[in-house]
Amino acid sequence: MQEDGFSNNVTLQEEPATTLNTTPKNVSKAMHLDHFFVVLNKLAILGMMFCIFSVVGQVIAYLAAGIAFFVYIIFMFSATVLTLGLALTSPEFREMWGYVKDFSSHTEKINEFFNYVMAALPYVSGIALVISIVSIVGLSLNKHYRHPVRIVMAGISCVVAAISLIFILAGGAK
Amino acid sequence: MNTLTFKLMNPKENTWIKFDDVEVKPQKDKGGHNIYSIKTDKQKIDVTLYKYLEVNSPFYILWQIFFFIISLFGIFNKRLEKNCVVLKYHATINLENDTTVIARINTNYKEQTALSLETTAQVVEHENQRMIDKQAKKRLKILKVIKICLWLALIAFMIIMIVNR
Repeated sequence: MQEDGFSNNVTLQEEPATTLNTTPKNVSKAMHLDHFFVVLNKLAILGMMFCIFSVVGQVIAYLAAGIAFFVYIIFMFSATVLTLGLALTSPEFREMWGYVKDFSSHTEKINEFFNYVMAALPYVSGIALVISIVSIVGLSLNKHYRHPVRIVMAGISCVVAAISLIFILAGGAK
Repeated sequence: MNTLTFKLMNPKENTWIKFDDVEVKPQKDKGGHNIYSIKTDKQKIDVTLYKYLEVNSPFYILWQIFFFIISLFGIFNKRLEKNCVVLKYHATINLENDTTVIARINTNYKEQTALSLETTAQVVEHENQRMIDKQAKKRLKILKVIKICLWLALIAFMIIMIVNR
């Protein structure tokens, strides 16, 4: 022991030892347990990251489905407006509107007007059906994130398509 | 009643310290140092510090292959110490009323002593060695070869699976 308080009684070894005693059983057991838990911890972190990415993916999928549905509604509305617009601006309609303007009390002519409107419905329904089918196919393509919300969205599209189909059948029947 | 406060400044992984052959649970201070507080009626206390290597454990090949496989072929495995440094320290500390010992594990590769002590108490060091275990280094090389072989086997297996499809 030196005066400055530093221990100096050191046995220096001339050459590095080639072998050391085998690690005791209890120590190696503890080491292996620690090693196992380190690996397990890393795997758990990996799993957690997968979960987070999955949740983020789900959110993106919902957003995508929402946007798809929104776009679908816009298309439906646009198609309806466009088809009705085309129908209403047709010469037949103008002619009919002239009749209405001239003498609207004639119920026959009013009936004729409704006939024109009804005649336009199959076109509207046809476009709506095509858009519905495209929407269903588009929503069903995302197989990675199967979820009730996506199925509900597809279901709504189906119902709308069915209503369109009924309109078409009604129009065809007429 | 004598009190020993043994402060290990830079605790290392797989380092085992015993006081009179008894493991004492350390308390960590803010700096991350391990503080061992021992109260004893004895006038002397034996301190032993050993740093072991995982590759020196029995059935090391089997254990390492097991860890290699469960860690998805080493991707999430714990790294084994490459330098294979082992420490052996054994000393007897003469206790006074309150004895404080500050110990540092030598990390310099030129050092051949395991610990440097700073204390006013009288210390008799029986053993203080810092060594490189060459046998452990050999074992690490063997493990490396085994891991490469396992990777090759995995790649071959995957190729066979893909081709057979």
